[in-house]
Amino acid sequence: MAILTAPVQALAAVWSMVVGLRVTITNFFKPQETIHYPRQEVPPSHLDSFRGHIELVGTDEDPAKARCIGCGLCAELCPSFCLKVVAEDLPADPTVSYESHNGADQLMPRPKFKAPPPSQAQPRKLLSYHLVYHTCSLCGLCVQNCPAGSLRFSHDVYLAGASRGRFEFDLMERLRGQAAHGGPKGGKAHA
Amino acid sequence: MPELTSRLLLAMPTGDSGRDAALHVKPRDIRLVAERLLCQDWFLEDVCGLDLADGLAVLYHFAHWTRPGRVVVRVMLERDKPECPSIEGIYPGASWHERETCDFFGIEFTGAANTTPLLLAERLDPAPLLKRPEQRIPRGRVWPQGEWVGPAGGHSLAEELMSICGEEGEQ
Amino acid sequence: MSWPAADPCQGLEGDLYARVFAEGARDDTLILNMGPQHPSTHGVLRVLLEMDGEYVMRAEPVLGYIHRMHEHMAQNRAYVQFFPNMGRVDYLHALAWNWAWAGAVEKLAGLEVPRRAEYIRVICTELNRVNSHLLWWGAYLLDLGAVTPIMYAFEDRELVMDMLQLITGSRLTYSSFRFGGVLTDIDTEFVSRCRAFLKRMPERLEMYRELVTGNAILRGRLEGVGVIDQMTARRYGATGPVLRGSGVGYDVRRAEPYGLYHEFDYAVPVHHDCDCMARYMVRMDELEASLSIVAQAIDGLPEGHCIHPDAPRGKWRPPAGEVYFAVEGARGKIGVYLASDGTEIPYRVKLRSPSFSNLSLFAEIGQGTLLSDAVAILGSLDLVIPEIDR
Repeated sequence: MAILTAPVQALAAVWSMVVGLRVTITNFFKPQETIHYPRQEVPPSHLDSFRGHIELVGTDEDPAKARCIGCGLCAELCPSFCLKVVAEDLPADPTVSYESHNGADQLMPRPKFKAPPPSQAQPRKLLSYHLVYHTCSLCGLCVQNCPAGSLRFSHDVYLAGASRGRFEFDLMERLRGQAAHGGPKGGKAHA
Repeated sequence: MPELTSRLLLAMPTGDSGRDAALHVKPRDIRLVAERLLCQDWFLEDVCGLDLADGLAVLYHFAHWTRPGRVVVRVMLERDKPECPSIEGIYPGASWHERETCDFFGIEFTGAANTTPLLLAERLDPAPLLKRPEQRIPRGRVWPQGEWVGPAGGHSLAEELMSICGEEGEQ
Repeated sequence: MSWPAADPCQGLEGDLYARVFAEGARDDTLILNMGPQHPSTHGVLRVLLEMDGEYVMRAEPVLGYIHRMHEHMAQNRAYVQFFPNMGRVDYLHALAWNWAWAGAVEKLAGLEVPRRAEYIRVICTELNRVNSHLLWWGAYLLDLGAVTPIMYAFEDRELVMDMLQLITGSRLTYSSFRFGGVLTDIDTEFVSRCRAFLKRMPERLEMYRELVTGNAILRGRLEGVGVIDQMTARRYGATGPVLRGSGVGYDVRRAEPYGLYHEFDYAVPVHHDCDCMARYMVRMDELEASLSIVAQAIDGLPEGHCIHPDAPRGKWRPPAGEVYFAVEGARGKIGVYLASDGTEIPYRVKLRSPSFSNLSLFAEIGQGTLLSDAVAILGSLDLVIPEIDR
């Protein structure tokens, strides 16, 4: 009987509005969730796991010297070609020969990578380490695969700059600066 | 009906590779095969191009809401004139997949109503996903010898896939 | 009324797509570009509309505004270097695409994944699905004109993003799956935050029901709009909530089981009305289903490695062959077709995106609808344009 159901439906519709209004009014008086930067900042403990741009990790004996052995695996694996690693060449040793992996004809259905390939076992002196952050996608391949554990993510959430150069990092210089100031600002090595 | 299955080749991919049956189909039969699959309630997942040394392959992946398994229909096309009939009259969703494949591989799907580029701004020459001749691999590398390939006629799976759902109409 | 001999509008017919579209138009209709800059198209989607007053006579989506050629990129880098791309294909359910890629290569090479890693994958992917559905819900209501719910949804999303940041380091475009497991293990901090979140969500979902689902205006806008019957869904290859809102209980987690989903007891919600309201209800029910999966997985988390110790790292060579692997994303069936020639670089990668097939049916069902209903239909399809354009 439409003459009865129509007003009932209309009342139900209006009631749903009242219910909704009650929800929004209750939420209106709840404390705000948004953090008003720059008056407030995210607590540093929330940033422990944040992936900022990568940085070098210093050795225990000398924090200003990176653990890097100059193998170049990070630069090779970077999908966006962000890294430039320059390391000193090893003195030529005619008696030592390394097998090339690229020449392998066999398929490897279950490859085992427990030991680093020979080219990475010989530490080389690191001369320079540059990161161009513009194209970095923070995939973590460099950090994960570094055989010396020499890379980690920094936690700088507030990285902002007015020129492109601000995002091109000389990571060795950054490490030296961090060591001079007594260690980086928080954060454990990631992965 | 028997004529169609006698023109098809059925391959059974080895191992657990996500496909349960592969039908090798001549280009002129693709519409018939698509019609039969639609009658059996298969849906089209995608249309994928593949550049091999033997020619350009078009792979149609079909799946089903209730039957387990995936059927891939493989069509080999000549490289100098890659044309394949469009199945958009049967599966309207194929129209976009075919336009995309045409963008990427330069394969022309004849009978399609709309052939404007879908994802690229204009057709590129050479098409972006085509390989250089030295990079192409023979079909045996991707569809290995271990995979049984034989005439589909008489095989129960092929007969079931192609079973009749009406009059075999005009081509 | 006659135009002057030299038509001043010559040269203003628009681009190729507009010209082709306008060929079939009547004289008294308006050709309107909805997008590519538009707040309601959820990305750079352009829909050409032929409008007769407020009614859409014809609709044709035009794609390609965010086409970045991911499939070409896959053919130019090693397998593991493609992981960051997967997060950019569908940024809302990045972990499902991560899983699709990792699963395809693992299937090709026969790699094992430890049980703990599988559980972590399930937890992360289902939390990501919750995030995706919350954003869909907020954005859909924003399209329909309600500005408040998106803020509530983002409040809940922040908690999930903080949780996932603990293990993946990222907030949106995660790339933390690797072949043979996941990059980082979960710790007690994650478990406690997850439990707190699971405790908080039921009353939040109740609040959403009160505020939105029961709202008469929403019901009026969504019920009976955008009916997709099963035959249309089949012919266009629609999957996911679009299909489950039309009465078909097809879920890749049940149809092509992967990971350890068979060990969990979860519902696959199906509604039979086929309209926008049914798709809305399917996604709201899926929120609860995903939360229940996360609860079961957190409680039953086994000990072990987070990545297989023999898993290949860096550049490696899987065997030659091809494989097709599918996962259930928030939008539907995500498929990765991978053909390998035995070298370090894939031979062919095809990314099957669910929104691509879901959007292709809009040209058919958008005919004859009001423009505001067209917006409601597009929102109910839950599109992510970068996934469509790849």
